[in-house]
Amino acid sequence: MDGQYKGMAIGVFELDSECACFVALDAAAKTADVKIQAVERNRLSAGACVKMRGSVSDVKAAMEAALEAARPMANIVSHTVIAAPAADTETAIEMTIHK
Amino acid sequence: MGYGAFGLVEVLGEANAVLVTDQMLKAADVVYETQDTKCGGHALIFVSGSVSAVKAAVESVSEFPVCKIFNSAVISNPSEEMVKIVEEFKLRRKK
Repeated sequence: MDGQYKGMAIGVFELDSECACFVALDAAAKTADVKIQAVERNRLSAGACVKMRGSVSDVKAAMEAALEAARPMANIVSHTVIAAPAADTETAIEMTIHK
Repeated sequence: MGYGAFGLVEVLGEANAVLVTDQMLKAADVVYETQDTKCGGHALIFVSGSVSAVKAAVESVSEFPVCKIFNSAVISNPSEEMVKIVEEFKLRRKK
């Protein structure tokens, strides 16, 4: 992935079902101006994780909207917002995208 | 091109995905976009079309399930981030 996302805040959430991931992703993208970097299925059976980038306030608002949309559909494995990622965090984020 | 709505259905395994896709395509005039399966894991099928057609297709699957449907959703008026991700999934499958 090119470096267009350098320095943006990171929002990552992982759900138990990929279908709920897309519902949450769509709700997040409609709520705030966030870029969806990737949707990955790192877990064999069902779950998927979504990586969002944008300004800190956008990512926070999008995260709330996403979790709100996903709560009835699937249980939330984990979620986090990183306001100012370090340089190596970027490479860690991009590493698993094209698996 | 604009997507009216996306229909998502999650089943276990690629064989069930083919069954469900076939049933959806016969139920309403929707277009098969792509599917994302992970070796032996859940398969997520994407279909697109007008909101009513996609709703009819997804409802027909959940009312007369050919196999265990884990999850299904209809996303109407998808944001352009969502369209970008689905396009990316389609490219990924082409390789």
